[in-house]
Amino acid sequence: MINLPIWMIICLICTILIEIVIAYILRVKDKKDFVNIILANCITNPLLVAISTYINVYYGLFARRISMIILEILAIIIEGYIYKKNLNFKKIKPYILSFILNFSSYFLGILINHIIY
Amino acid sequence: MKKTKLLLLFFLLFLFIIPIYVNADMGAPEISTYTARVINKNGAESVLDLYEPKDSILIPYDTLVEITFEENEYGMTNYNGKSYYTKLSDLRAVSEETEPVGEGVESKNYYAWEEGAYLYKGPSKAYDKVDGNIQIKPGTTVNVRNYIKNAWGYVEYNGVKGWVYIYQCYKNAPYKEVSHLVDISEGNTKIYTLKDITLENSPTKQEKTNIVVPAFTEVQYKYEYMYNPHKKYICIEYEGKEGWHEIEDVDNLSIAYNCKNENISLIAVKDVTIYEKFNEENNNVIGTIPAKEECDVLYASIYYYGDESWCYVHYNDISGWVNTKGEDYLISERYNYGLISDKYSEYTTDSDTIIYDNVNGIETNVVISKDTVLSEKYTYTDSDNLSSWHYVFNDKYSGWIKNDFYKASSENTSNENTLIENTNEIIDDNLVEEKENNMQKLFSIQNILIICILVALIIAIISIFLIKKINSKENK
Repeated sequence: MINLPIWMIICLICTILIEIVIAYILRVKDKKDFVNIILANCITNPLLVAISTYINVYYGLFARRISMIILEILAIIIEGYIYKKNLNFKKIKPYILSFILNFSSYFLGILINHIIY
Repeated sequence: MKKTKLLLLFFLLFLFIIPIYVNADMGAPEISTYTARVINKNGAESVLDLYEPKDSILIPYDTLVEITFEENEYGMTNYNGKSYYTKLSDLRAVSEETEPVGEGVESKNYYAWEEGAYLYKGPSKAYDKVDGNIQIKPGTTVNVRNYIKNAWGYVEYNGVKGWVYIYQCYKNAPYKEVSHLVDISEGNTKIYTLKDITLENSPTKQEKTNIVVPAFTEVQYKYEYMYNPHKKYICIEYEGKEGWHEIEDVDNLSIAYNCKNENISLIAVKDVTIYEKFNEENNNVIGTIPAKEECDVLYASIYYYGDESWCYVHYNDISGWVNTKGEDYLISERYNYGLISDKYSEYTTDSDTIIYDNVNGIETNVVISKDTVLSEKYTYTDSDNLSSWHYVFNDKYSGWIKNDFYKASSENTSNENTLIENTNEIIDDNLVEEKENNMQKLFSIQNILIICILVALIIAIISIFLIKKINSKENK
Protein backbone atom coordinates (compact mmCIF):
# COMPACT_ATOMS: atom_id res chain seq x y z
CA MET A 1 0.00 0.00 0.00
CA ILE A 2 2.98 2.25 0.55
CA ASN A 3 3.60 1.80 -3.17
CA LEU A 4 0.20 3.23 -4.09
CA PRO A 5 1.52 6.67 -5.14
CA ILE A 6 4.12 4.99 -7.34
CA TRP A 7 1.46 2.71 -8.71
CA MET A 8 -0.75 5.70 -9.51
CA ILE A 9 2.09 7.37 -11.39
CA ILE A 10 2.73 4.20 -13.39
CA CYS A 11 -0.98 3.88 -14.21
CA LEU A 12 -1.14 7.50 -15.33
CA ILE A 13 1.94 7.22 -17.52
CA CYS A 14 0.75 3.96 -19.11
CA THR A 15 -2.71 5.38 -19.74
CA ILE A 16 -1.31 8.55 -21.30
CA LEU A 17 1.07 6.59 -23.51
CA ILE A 18 -1.62 4.20 -24.73
CA GLU A 19 -4.09 7.00 -25.40
CA ILE A 20 -1.51 9.12 -27.20
CA VAL A 21 -0.62 6.20 -29.46
CA ILE A 22 -4.26 5.39 -30.17
CA ALA A 23 -4.98 9.07 -30.79
CA TYR A 24 -2.08 9.22 -33.21
CA ILE A 25 -3.36 6.17 -35.04
CA LEU A 26 -6.76 7.84 -35.27
CA ARG A 27 -5.01 10.73 -37.03
CA VAL A 28 -4.94 13.27 -34.27
CA LYS A 29 -2.16 15.57 -35.40
CA ASP A 30 -2.38 18.85 -33.56
CA LYS A 31 0.14 19.09 -30.69
CA LYS A 32 -2.34 21.08 -28.65
CA ASP A 33 -4.81 18.24 -28.98
CA PHE A 34 -2.25 15.82 -27.56
CA VAL A 35 -1.64 18.17 -24.65
CA ASN A 36 -5.38 18.33 -24.02
CA ILE A 37 -5.60 14.55 -24.06
CA ILE A 38 -2.73 14.32 -21.57
CA LEU A 39 -4.26 16.90 -19.27
CA ALA A 40 -7.70 15.31 -19.50
CA ASN A 41 -6.19 12.04 -18.34
CA CYS A 42 -4.40 13.85 -15.53
CA ILE A 43 -7.81 15.00 -14.34
CA THR A 44 -9.53 11.62 -14.43
CA ASN A 45 -6.97 8.87 -14.09
CA PRO A 46 -5.37 9.56 -10.67
CA LEU A 47 -8.78 10.12 -9.09
CA LEU A 48 -10.11 6.95 -10.66
CA VAL A 49 -7.21 4.83 -9.40
CA ALA A 50 -7.24 6.35 -5.89
CA ILE A 51 -11.00 6.07 -5.43
CA SER A 52 -11.19 2.51 -6.78
CA THR A 53 -8.33 1.46 -4.50
CA TYR A 54 -10.08 3.03 -1.53
CA ILE A 55 -13.25 1.15 -2.36
CA ASN A 56 -11.29 -2.08 -2.81
CA VAL A 57 -9.66 -1.81 0.61
CA TYR A 58 -12.81 -0.96 2.52
CA TYR A 59 -15.60 -2.61 0.55
CA GLY A 60 -13.97 -5.50 -1.27
CA LEU A 61 -13.27 -6.63 -4.78
CA PHE A 62 -16.85 -6.84 -5.97
CA ALA A 63 -17.56 -3.25 -4.95
CA ARG A 64 -14.39 -2.22 -6.66
CA ARG A 65 -15.48 -3.81 -9.92
CA ILE A 66 -18.83 -2.05 -9.82
CA SER A 67 -17.20 1.26 -8.97
CA MET A 68 -14.71 0.85 -11.83
CA ILE A 69 -17.55 0.66 -14.32
CA ILE A 70 -19.18 3.76 -12.89
CA LEU A 71 -15.91 5.66 -12.66
CA GLU A 72 -14.91 4.73 -16.19
CA ILE A 73 -18.24 5.98 -17.50
CA LEU A 74 -17.75 9.23 -15.61
CA ALA A 75 -14.22 9.52 -16.97
CA ILE A 76 -15.51 9.06 -20.52
CA ILE A 77 -18.11 11.77 -20.00
CA ILE A 78 -15.65 14.22 -18.42
CA GLU A 79 -12.97 13.66 -21.02
CA GLY A 80 -15.55 13.78 -23.78
CA TYR A 81 -16.67 17.16 -22.53
CA ILE A 82 -13.08 18.41 -22.44
CA TYR A 83 -12.47 17.18 -25.96
CA LYS A 84 -15.70 18.79 -27.16
CA LYS A 85 -14.68 22.16 -25.76
CA ASN A 86 -11.00 22.12 -26.63
CA LEU A 87 -9.99 19.69 -29.33
CA ASN A 88 -9.34 20.79 -32.89
CA PHE A 89 -9.68 17.22 -34.07
CA LYS A 90 -13.17 16.92 -35.53
CA LYS A 91 -13.05 13.69 -37.52
CA ILE A 92 -14.47 11.70 -34.67
CA LYS A 93 -17.11 12.98 -32.32
CA PRO A 94 -15.56 13.94 -28.98
CA TYR A 95 -17.52 11.57 -26.79
CA ILE A 96 -16.87 8.69 -29.14
CA LEU A 97 -13.20 9.60 -29.20
CA SER A 98 -13.18 9.63 -25.41
CA PHE A 99 -14.91 6.26 -25.38
CA ILE A 100 -12.41 4.72 -27.79
CA LEU A 101 -9.39 6.06 -25.95
CA ASN A 102 -10.62 5.01 -22.53
CA PHE A 103 -11.81 1.62 -23.71
CA SER A 104 -8.52 0.84 -25.38
CA SER A 105 -6.43 1.93 -22.42
CA TYR A 106 -8.64 -0.13 -20.09
CA PHE A 107 -8.46 -3.33 -22.11
CA LEU A 108 -4.82 -3.02 -22.98
CA GLY A 109 -4.26 -2.52 -19.29
CA ILE A 110 -5.98 -5.83 -18.55
CA LEU A 111 -3.91 -7.52 -21.22
CA ILE A 112 -0.67 -6.16 -19.88
CA ASN A 113 -1.72 -7.27 -16.41
CA HIS A 114 -2.36 -10.80 -17.64
CA ILE A 115 0.99 -10.94 -19.34
CA ILE A 116 2.90 -9.65 -16.37
CA TYR A 117 1.10 -11.67 -13.70
CA MET B 1 -12.92 8.39 -43.53
CA LYS B 2 -13.42 4.83 -44.74
CA LYS B 3 -9.87 4.00 -43.72
CA THR B 4 -10.46 5.47 -40.28
CA LYS B 5 -13.62 3.49 -39.83
CA LEU B 6 -11.93 0.29 -40.93
CA LEU B 7 -9.03 0.97 -38.61
CA LEU B 8 -11.43 1.65 -35.78
CA LEU B 9 -13.32 -1.55 -36.42
CA PHE B 10 -10.11 -3.52 -36.50
CA PHE B 11 -9.00 -2.04 -33.23
CA LEU B 12 -12.29 -2.68 -31.50
CA LEU B 13 -12.20 -6.29 -32.62
CA PHE B 14 -8.60 -6.58 -31.48
CA LEU B 15 -9.44 -5.08 -28.12
CA PHE B 16 -12.36 -7.38 -27.56
CA ILE B 17 -10.88 -10.59 -28.87
CA ILE B 18 -7.55 -10.57 -27.09
CA PRO B 19 -8.92 -10.19 -23.52
CA ILE B 20 -11.71 -12.66 -24.25
CA TYR B 21 -9.16 -15.14 -25.55
CA VAL B 22 -6.94 -14.58 -22.56
CA ASN B 23 -9.82 -14.85 -20.14
CA ALA B 24 -11.27 -17.90 -21.80
CA ASP B 25 -7.91 -19.57 -21.77
CA MET B 26 -7.38 -18.92 -18.10
CA GLY B 27 -10.00 -21.42 -17.11
CA ALA B 28 -9.42 -24.02 -19.82
CA PRO B 29 -9.07 -27.47 -18.29
CA GLU B 30 -6.14 -29.72 -19.06
CA ILE B 31 -7.56 -32.47 -21.17
CA SER B 32 -6.07 -35.29 -23.17
CA THR B 33 -8.41 -35.52 -26.10
CA TYR B 34 -8.63 -38.65 -28.13
CA THR B 35 -10.56 -40.02 -31.06
CA ALA B 36 -13.03 -42.84 -30.56
CA ARG B 37 -15.29 -44.83 -32.83
CA VAL B 38 -18.87 -45.83 -32.05
CA ILE B 39 -18.89 -49.61 -31.75
CA ASN B 40 -22.46 -50.11 -30.66
CA LYS B 41 -24.39 -51.19 -33.74
CA ASN B 42 -27.50 -49.49 -32.38
CA GLY B 43 -25.64 -46.24 -31.93
CA ALA B 44 -23.95 -44.56 -28.98
CA GLU B 45 -26.33 -43.24 -26.38
CA SER B 46 -25.69 -39.54 -25.84
CA VAL B 47 -27.31 -36.92 -23.66
CA LEU B 48 -26.97 -33.18 -23.41
CA ASP B 49 -27.00 -33.08 -19.64
CA LEU B 50 -25.87 -35.95 -17.44
CA TYR B 51 -28.16 -34.99 -14.61
CA GLU B 52 -31.21 -34.24 -16.66
CA PRO B 53 -31.04 -36.90 -19.34
CA LYS B 54 -33.69 -35.66 -21.70
CA ASP B 55 -32.90 -34.83 -25.35
CA SER B 56 -30.87 -37.97 -25.80
CA ILE B 57 -29.75 -39.09 -29.21
CA LEU B 58 -27.95 -42.05 -30.72
CA ILE B 59 -24.72 -41.24 -32.52
CA PRO B 60 -24.63 -43.67 -35.45
CA TYR B 61 -22.49 -46.76 -35.51
CA ASP B 62 -18.93 -46.32 -36.82
CA THR B 63 -18.94 -42.53 -36.34
CA LEU B 64 -15.66 -41.03 -35.28
CA VAL B 65 -15.95 -38.64 -32.35
CA GLU B 66 -13.45 -36.53 -30.46
CA ILE B 67 -13.64 -37.03 -26.70
CA THR B 68 -12.56 -33.92 -24.85
CA PHE B 69 -13.64 -34.64 -21.34
CA GLU B 70 -14.81 -37.55 -19.23
CA GLU B 71 -17.25 -37.64 -16.40
CA ASN B 72 -18.20 -40.87 -14.68
CA GLU B 73 -18.98 -43.35 -17.46
CA TYR B 74 -19.46 -40.71 -20.14
CA GLY B 75 -17.23 -38.78 -22.51
CA MET B 76 -18.00 -35.35 -23.82
CA THR B 77 -18.02 -34.92 -27.55
CA ASN B 78 -19.22 -32.44 -30.09
CA TYR B 79 -21.77 -33.79 -32.52
CA ASN B 80 -23.81 -31.76 -34.96
CA GLY B 81 -22.75 -28.55 -33.31
CA LYS B 82 -23.78 -29.57 -29.79
CA SER B 83 -21.89 -31.04 -26.86
CA TYR B 84 -23.10 -34.45 -25.79
CA TYR B 85 -22.19 -36.89 -23.07
CA THR B 86 -21.72 -40.22 -24.76
CA LYS B 87 -21.52 -43.58 -23.05
CA LEU B 88 -17.92 -44.73 -23.12
CA SER B 89 -18.94 -48.35 -23.28
CA ASP B 90 -20.42 -47.64 -26.71
CA LEU B 91 -17.10 -46.28 -27.93
CA ARG B 92 -13.69 -47.63 -28.61
CA ALA B 93 -10.59 -45.46 -28.81
CA VAL B 94 -8.96 -45.42 -32.20
CA SER B 95 -5.37 -45.49 -30.98
CA GLU B 96 -4.09 -48.78 -29.64
CA GLU B 97 -2.59 -47.66 -26.38
CA THR B 98 -0.89 -44.67 -24.92
CA GLU B 99 2.06 -44.51 -22.66
CA PRO B 100 2.73 -41.49 -20.54
CA VAL B 101 5.51 -39.18 -21.54
CA GLY B 102 8.03 -37.90 -19.07
CA GLU B 103 8.18 -38.26 -15.34
CA GLY B 104 4.60 -37.41 -14.62
CA VAL B 105 2.91 -34.77 -12.59
CA GLU B 106 2.45 -36.61 -9.36
CA SER B 107 3.27 -39.93 -7.86
CA LYS B 108 0.77 -41.05 -5.28
CA ASN B 109 -0.26 -44.24 -3.62
CA TYR B 110 -3.78 -45.44 -4.19
CA TYR B 111 -5.71 -48.04 -2.39
CA ALA B 112 -7.98 -50.34 -4.31
CA TRP B 113 -10.88 -51.80 -2.43
CA GLU B 114 -13.46 -54.44 -2.70
CA GLU B 115 -13.87 -54.68 -6.43
CA GLY B 116 -10.37 -53.63 -7.35
CA ALA B 117 -9.60 -51.72 -10.51
CA TYR B 118 -9.05 -52.95 -14.04
CA LEU B 119 -6.03 -51.97 -16.08
CA TYR B 120 -6.77 -50.38 -19.42
CA LYS B 121 -4.57 -49.76 -22.42
CA GLY B 122 -5.32 -46.06 -22.40
CA PRO B 123 -6.64 -43.42 -20.03
CA SER B 124 -10.26 -44.05 -20.79
CA LYS B 125 -12.81 -46.82 -20.64
CA ALA B 126 -13.07 -46.38 -24.37
CA TYR B 127 -9.79 -48.24 -24.60
CA ASP B 128 -9.55 -51.99 -24.33
CA LYS B 129 -8.59 -53.58 -21.07
CA VAL B 130 -5.05 -54.92 -21.00
CA ASP B 131 -4.64 -58.47 -22.17
CA GLY B 132 -5.79 -60.90 -19.56
CA ASN B 133 -8.34 -58.53 -18.00
CA ILE B 134 -5.93 -57.72 -15.21
CA GLN B 135 -7.64 -56.42 -12.12
CA ILE B 136 -5.85 -54.90 -9.16
CA LYS B 137 -6.67 -57.06 -6.19
CA PRO B 138 -8.85 -55.41 -3.56
CA GLY B 139 -6.82 -54.11 -0.66
CA THR B 140 -3.73 -53.52 -2.78
CA THR B 141 -1.83 -50.28 -2.81
CA VAL B 142 -0.44 -49.15 -6.13
CA ASN B 143 1.85 -46.32 -7.00
CA VAL B 144 0.38 -44.12 -9.66
CA ARG B 145 2.35 -41.86 -11.94
CA ASN B 146 1.21 -39.53 -14.67
CA TYR B 147 -1.95 -38.67 -12.94
CA ILE B 148 -4.09 -36.73 -15.36
CA LYS B 149 -7.17 -34.70 -14.89
CA ASN B 150 -9.55 -37.30 -16.17
CA ALA B 151 -8.61 -39.25 -13.04
CA TRP B 152 -6.63 -41.92 -14.74
CA GLY B 153 -3.22 -43.04 -13.54
CA TYR B 154 -0.53 -45.13 -15.15
CA VAL B 155 0.56 -48.00 -12.92
CA GLU B 156 2.68 -51.07 -12.96
CA TYR B 157 1.00 -53.98 -11.26
CA ASN B 158 2.51 -57.43 -11.07
CA GLY B 159 4.77 -56.59 -13.99
CA VAL B 160 1.94 -55.36 -16.18
CA LYS B 161 1.67 -51.72 -17.13
CA GLY B 162 -1.57 -50.00 -17.81
CA TRP B 163 -3.97 -47.25 -16.92
CA VAL B 164 -6.31 -47.41 -14.01
CA TYR B 165 -9.32 -45.23 -13.38
CA ILE B 166 -8.53 -43.66 -10.04
CA TYR B 167 -12.16 -43.27 -9.11
CA GLN B 168 -12.54 -46.99 -9.51
CA CYS B 169 -10.25 -47.34 -6.58
CA TYR B 170 -13.03 -45.89 -4.49
CA LYS B 171 -16.23 -47.70 -5.09
CA ASN B 172 -19.28 -45.48 -5.08
CA ALA B 173 -17.14 -42.44 -4.51
CA PRO B 174 -19.37 -39.42 -4.31
CA TYR B 175 -19.40 -37.12 -7.29
CA LYS B 176 -18.38 -33.95 -5.57
CA GLU B 177 -15.51 -35.27 -3.56
CA VAL B 178 -12.89 -32.73 -2.72
CA SER B 179 -9.97 -35.05 -2.81
CA HIS B 180 -9.78 -38.66 -3.78
CA LEU B 181 -6.15 -39.04 -2.92
CA VAL B 182 -5.20 -41.56 -0.35
CA ASP B 183 -2.01 -40.72 1.42
CA ILE B 184 -0.09 -43.15 3.46
CA SER B 185 0.91 -41.65 6.75
CA GLU B 186 4.15 -42.81 8.21
CA GLY B 187 4.52 -42.09 11.86
CA ASN B 188 2.91 -38.73 11.64
CA THR B 189 0.23 -39.37 14.16
CA LYS B 190 -0.56 -41.29 17.24
CA ILE B 191 -4.11 -42.47 17.43
CA TYR B 192 -5.76 -43.76 20.51
CA THR B 193 -9.24 -45.00 20.94
CA LEU B 194 -11.15 -43.43 23.78
CA LYS B 195 -13.89 -46.03 23.72
CA ASP B 196 -14.40 -49.40 22.07
CA ILE B 197 -14.90 -48.74 18.38
CA THR B 198 -16.03 -50.95 15.53
CA LEU B 199 -14.30 -50.27 12.26
CA GLU B 200 -16.05 -49.93 8.93
CA ASN B 201 -15.12 -51.78 5.79
CA SER B 202 -14.67 -48.67 3.63
CA PRO B 203 -15.18 -44.94 3.89
CA THR B 204 -17.82 -44.94 1.21
CA LYS B 205 -19.87 -47.97 2.14
CA GLN B 206 -19.39 -47.65 5.89
CA GLU B 207 -20.59 -51.10 6.72
CA LYS B 208 -19.50 -52.38 10.08
CA THR B 209 -16.88 -55.07 10.21
CA ASN B 210 -16.22 -57.45 13.06
CA ILE B 211 -13.04 -55.60 14.00
CA VAL B 212 -13.49 -54.04 17.43
CA VAL B 213 -10.67 -51.97 18.83
CA PRO B 214 -10.80 -51.71 22.61
CA ALA B 215 -10.69 -48.41 24.43
CA PHE B 216 -7.34 -46.78 25.08
CA THR B 217 -5.54 -48.72 22.41
CA GLU B 218 -2.92 -47.15 20.23
CA VAL B 219 -3.54 -47.99 16.60
CA GLN B 220 -1.56 -47.50 13.45
CA TYR B 221 -2.83 -44.99 10.97
CA LYS B 222 -2.30 -46.03 7.40
CA TYR B 223 -4.41 -44.06 4.95
CA GLU B 224 -6.81 -41.25 4.87
CA TYR B 225 -9.65 -40.44 2.53
CA MET B 226 -11.61 -37.25 2.33
CA TYR B 227 -15.22 -38.17 1.75
CA ASN B 228 -16.22 -34.52 1.62
CA PRO B 229 -14.85 -31.34 3.22
CA HIS B 230 -16.55 -32.23 6.48
CA LYS B 231 -15.78 -35.91 6.66
CA LYS B 232 -12.43 -37.56 6.55
CA TYR B 233 -11.84 -41.24 7.10
CA ILE B 234 -8.68 -43.00 8.14
CA CYS B 235 -7.65 -46.55 7.60
CA ILE B 236 -6.62 -48.04 10.89
CA GLU B 237 -4.56 -51.13 11.36
CA TYR B 238 -5.14 -53.20 14.46
CA GLU B 239 -3.68 -56.63 15.11
CA GLY B 240 -2.98 -57.19 11.43
CA LYS B 241 -6.47 -56.19 10.33
CA GLU B 242 -7.61 -53.01 8.63
CA GLY B 243 -10.73 -50.99 8.89
CA TRP B 244 -11.94 -47.45 8.48
CA HIS B 245 -13.22 -44.86 10.86
CA GLU B 246 -14.10 -41.20 10.75
CA ILE B 247 -11.16 -39.11 11.90
CA GLU B 248 -13.23 -36.46 13.61
CA ASP B 249 -15.10 -38.82 15.82
CA VAL B 250 -13.81 -36.98 18.86
CA ASP B 251 -15.87 -39.02 21.27
CA ASN B 252 -14.10 -42.20 20.23
CA LEU B 253 -10.74 -41.23 18.89
CA SER B 254 -7.92 -39.14 20.17
CA ILE B 255 -5.34 -38.01 17.71
CA ALA B 256 -1.99 -36.53 18.44
CA TYR B 257 0.09 -35.20 15.57
CA ASN B 258 3.83 -35.31 15.18
CA CYS B 259 5.31 -32.05 16.44
CA LYS B 260 8.94 -33.01 16.33
CA ASN B 261 9.74 -30.49 13.65
CA GLU B 262 7.60 -27.75 15.13
CA ASN B 263 9.98 -26.87 17.97
CA ILE B 264 7.24 -26.87 20.55
CA SER B 265 8.11 -27.06 24.18
CA LEU B 266 6.09 -27.40 27.29
CA ILE B 267 6.90 -25.70 30.55
CA ALA B 268 5.54 -26.94 33.83
CA VAL B 269 4.05 -24.34 36.12
CA LYS B 270 3.80 -26.89 38.86
CA ASP B 271 5.05 -30.47 38.99
CA VAL B 272 3.60 -32.40 36.07
CA THR B 273 3.08 -36.14 36.04
CA ILE B 274 4.19 -38.18 33.05
CA TYR B 275 2.09 -41.25 32.32
CA GLU B 276 2.93 -44.29 30.31
CA LYS B 277 -0.39 -44.11 28.43
CA PHE B 278 -2.52 -41.14 27.65
CA ASN B 279 -5.45 -42.03 29.80
CA GLU B 280 -4.43 -41.62 33.39
CA GLU B 281 -7.06 -43.93 34.78
CA ASN B 282 -5.28 -46.95 33.44
CA ASN B 283 -1.78 -45.62 33.54
CA ASN B 284 1.45 -46.13 35.28
CA VAL B 285 3.24 -43.02 36.38
CA ILE B 286 6.68 -43.07 34.85
CA GLY B 287 8.04 -39.70 35.76
CA THR B 288 7.56 -36.08 36.81
CA ILE B 289 8.45 -32.79 35.23
CA PRO B 290 9.37 -30.43 38.07
CA ALA B 291 7.94 -26.94 38.14
CA LYS B 292 9.62 -24.44 35.85
CA GLU B 293 11.27 -27.24 33.90
CA GLU B 294 10.87 -27.43 30.19
CA CYS B 295 10.54 -30.42 27.89
CA ASP B 296 10.07 -31.22 24.23
CA VAL B 297 6.64 -31.99 22.88
CA LEU B 298 6.71 -34.82 20.38
CA TYR B 299 3.03 -35.36 19.66
CA ALA B 300 0.09 -33.14 20.39
CA SER B 301 -3.45 -32.55 19.40
CA ILE B 302 -3.89 -29.48 17.26
CA TYR B 303 -7.64 -29.41 17.31
CA TYR B 304 -9.82 -28.08 20.05
CA TYR B 305 -11.57 -31.19 21.21
CA GLY B 306 -12.89 -29.82 24.45
CA ASP B 307 -11.27 -30.49 27.77
CA GLU B 308 -9.65 -33.77 26.96
CA SER B 309 -6.16 -33.14 25.72
CA TRP B 310 -2.92 -34.93 26.06
CA CYS B 311 0.47 -34.53 24.61
CA TYR B 312 3.41 -36.85 24.31
CA VAL B 313 6.60 -35.39 25.68
CA HIS B 314 10.20 -36.21 26.19
CA TYR B 315 11.92 -35.17 29.42
CA ASN B 316 15.24 -36.47 30.71
CA ASP B 317 15.15 -39.81 28.85
CA ILE B 318 11.53 -40.34 29.74
CA SER B 319 8.89 -40.32 27.01
CA GLY B 320 5.28 -40.38 27.96
CA TRP B 321 1.96 -38.61 28.13
CA VAL B 322 1.00 -35.55 30.10
CA ASN B 323 -2.44 -34.22 30.64
CA THR B 324 -2.57 -30.63 29.53
CA LYS B 325 -6.13 -29.83 30.38
CA GLY B 326 -5.42 -28.47 33.79
CA GLU B 327 -4.42 -24.83 33.86
CA ASP B 328 -2.91 -25.27 37.25
CA TYR B 329 -0.33 -27.56 35.86
CA LEU B 330 0.79 -25.91 32.73
CA ILE B 331 0.87 -22.66 31.02
CA SER B 332 -1.76 -23.39 28.54
CA GLU B 333 -2.68 -21.78 25.33
CA ARG B 334 -6.13 -23.05 24.71
CA TYR B 335 -5.52 -22.54 21.07
CA ASN B 336 -2.69 -24.97 21.21
CA TYR B 337 -3.60 -27.08 24.18
CA GLY B 338 -1.00 -26.42 26.74
CA LEU B 339 1.83 -26.01 24.31
CA ILE B 340 4.02 -23.02 24.07
CA SER B 341 5.79 -22.12 20.92
CA ASP B 342 9.40 -21.52 21.43
CA LYS B 343 9.37 -17.95 20.28
CA TYR B 344 10.09 -14.91 22.34
CA SER B 345 9.86 -11.19 22.04
CA GLU B 346 11.33 -8.18 23.70
CA TYR B 347 9.74 -7.02 26.90
CA THR B 348 10.46 -3.70 28.64
CA THR B 349 9.38 -3.12 32.20
CA ASP B 350 7.41 0.05 32.65
CA SER B 351 7.98 0.22 36.39
CA ASP B 352 9.95 -1.54 39.10
CA THR B 353 8.68 -5.09 38.82
CA ILE B 354 8.74 -7.96 41.29
CA ILE B 355 9.71 -11.43 40.11
CA TYR B 356 7.51 -14.34 41.13
CA ASP B 357 8.64 -17.91 41.41
CA ASN B 358 5.73 -19.14 39.38
CA VAL B 359 2.41 -18.22 37.77
CA ASN B 360 0.16 -17.21 40.67
CA GLY B 361 3.12 -18.10 42.82
CA ILE B 362 5.14 -16.52 45.62
CA GLU B 363 6.85 -13.18 45.34
CA THR B 364 10.59 -13.36 45.49
CA ASN B 365 12.70 -10.50 46.77
CA VAL B 366 14.10 -9.80 43.32
CA VAL B 367 12.96 -6.58 41.74
CA ILE B 368 13.60 -5.66 38.12
CA SER B 369 14.03 -1.93 37.71
CA LYS B 370 12.00 0.16 35.33
CA ASP B 371 12.92 0.23 31.63
CA THR B 372 14.88 -2.99 31.79
CA VAL B 373 14.84 -4.83 28.48
CA LEU B 374 14.30 -8.58 28.74
CA SER B 375 13.40 -11.47 26.50
CA GLU B 376 9.93 -12.80 27.00
CA LYS B 377 9.50 -16.47 26.41
CA TYR B 378 6.11 -17.43 27.72
CA THR B 379 2.91 -15.73 28.51
CA TYR B 380 -0.14 -16.77 30.44
CA THR B 381 -3.42 -15.08 31.21
CA ASP B 382 -5.53 -15.79 34.21
CA SER B 383 -9.01 -16.97 33.43
CA ASP B 384 -10.41 -13.78 34.92
CA ASN B 385 -8.39 -11.86 32.35
CA LEU B 386 -7.37 -9.18 34.78
CA SER B 387 -3.73 -10.07 34.80
CA SER B 388 -1.16 -11.66 32.63
CA TRP B 389 2.02 -13.46 33.47
CA HIS B 390 5.25 -13.31 31.52
CA TYR B 391 8.30 -15.48 31.79
CA VAL B 392 11.20 -13.14 31.14
CA PHE B 393 14.92 -13.43 31.28
CA ASN B 394 18.18 -11.74 30.54
CA ASP B 395 21.75 -12.19 31.77
CA LYS B 396 20.82 -11.02 35.21
CA TYR B 397 17.21 -12.01 35.84
CA SER B 398 14.83 -14.83 35.07
CA GLY B 399 11.41 -15.56 36.38
CA TRP B 400 7.76 -14.61 36.20
CA ILE B 401 6.40 -11.13 36.29
CA LYS B 402 2.82 -10.16 36.74
CA ASN B 403 1.21 -7.53 34.65
CA ASP B 404 -2.30 -6.29 34.87
CA PHE B 405 -1.95 -4.87 31.40
CA TYR B 406 0.14 -6.07 28.56
CA LYS B 407 2.70 -3.77 27.07
CA ALA B 408 4.70 -4.61 23.95
CA SER B 409 8.29 -3.49 23.53
CA SER B 410 9.88 -0.63 21.57
CA GLU B 411 7.30 -0.68 18.75
CA ASN B 412 4.66 0.68 21.08
CA THR B 413 6.05 3.85 22.55
CA SER B 414 2.81 5.13 24.05
CA ASN B 415 2.14 4.83 27.74
CA GLU B 416 -1.31 3.40 27.25
CA ASN B 417 -1.98 0.00 28.76
CA THR B 418 -3.80 -2.62 26.81
CA LEU B 419 -6.40 -4.84 28.40
CA ILE B 420 -6.53 -8.43 27.33
CA GLU B 421 -10.03 -9.26 26.18
CA ASN B 422 -11.74 -12.61 25.50
CA THR B 423 -12.46 -14.18 28.81
CA ASN B 424 -11.93 -17.72 27.63
CA GLU B 425 -8.84 -17.16 25.59
CA ILE B 426 -5.27 -17.12 26.68
CA ILE B 427 -3.44 -14.72 24.45
CA ASP B 428 -0.10 -15.41 22.93
CA ASP B 429 2.19 -12.40 22.93
CA ASN B 430 2.68 -12.84 19.23
CA LEU B 431 -1.08 -12.68 18.63
CA VAL B 432 -1.41 -9.38 20.49
CA GLU B 433 1.59 -7.96 18.71
CA GLU B 434 0.09 -9.06 15.42
CA LYS B 435 -3.22 -7.38 16.32
CA GLU B 436 -1.43 -4.16 17.14
CA ASN B 437 0.59 -4.34 13.96
CA ASN B 438 -2.59 -4.85 11.96
CA MET B 439 -4.23 -1.83 13.57
CA GLN B 440 -1.21 0.28 12.80
CA LYS B 441 -1.15 -0.99 9.26
CA LEU B 442 -4.84 -0.18 8.72
CA PHE B 443 -4.38 3.27 10.13
CA SER B 444 -1.46 3.96 7.84
CA ILE B 445 -3.31 2.49 4.81
CA GLN B 446 -6.15 4.90 5.53
CA ASN B 447 -3.72 7.79 5.70
CA ILE B 448 -2.06 6.85 2.44
CA LEU B 449 -5.38 6.46 0.64
CA ILE B 450 -6.68 9.80 1.81
CA ILE B 451 -3.44 11.52 0.86
CA CYS B 452 -3.52 9.91 -2.58
CA ILE B 453 -7.09 11.02 -3.17
CA LEU B 454 -6.18 14.56 -2.11
CA VAL B 455 -3.13 14.60 -4.36
CA ALA B 456 -5.25 13.30 -7.24
CA LEU B 457 -7.72 16.14 -6.62
CA ILE B 458 -4.94 18.70 -6.64
CA ILE B 459 -3.54 17.29 -9.88
CA ALA B 460 -7.04 17.42 -11.38
CA ILE B 461 -7.49 21.07 -10.37
CA ILE B 462 -4.09 22.02 -11.76
CA SER B 463 -4.86 20.20 -15.00
CA ILE B 464 -8.20 21.98 -15.36
CA PHE B 465 -6.44 25.26 -14.84
CA LEU B 466 -3.79 24.36 -17.43
CA ILE B 467 -6.40 23.29 -19.98
CA LYS B 468 -8.20 26.60 -19.58
CA LYS B 469 -4.98 28.52 -19.89
CA ILE B 470 -3.77 26.69 -22.99
CA ASN B 471 -7.07 26.93 -24.76
CA SER B 472 -7.73 30.56 -23.86
CA LYS B 473 -4.27 31.46 -25.23
CA GLU B 474 -5.15 29.67 -28.42
CA ASN B 475 -8.43 31.53 -28.68
CA LYS B 476 -6.63 34.84 -28.27
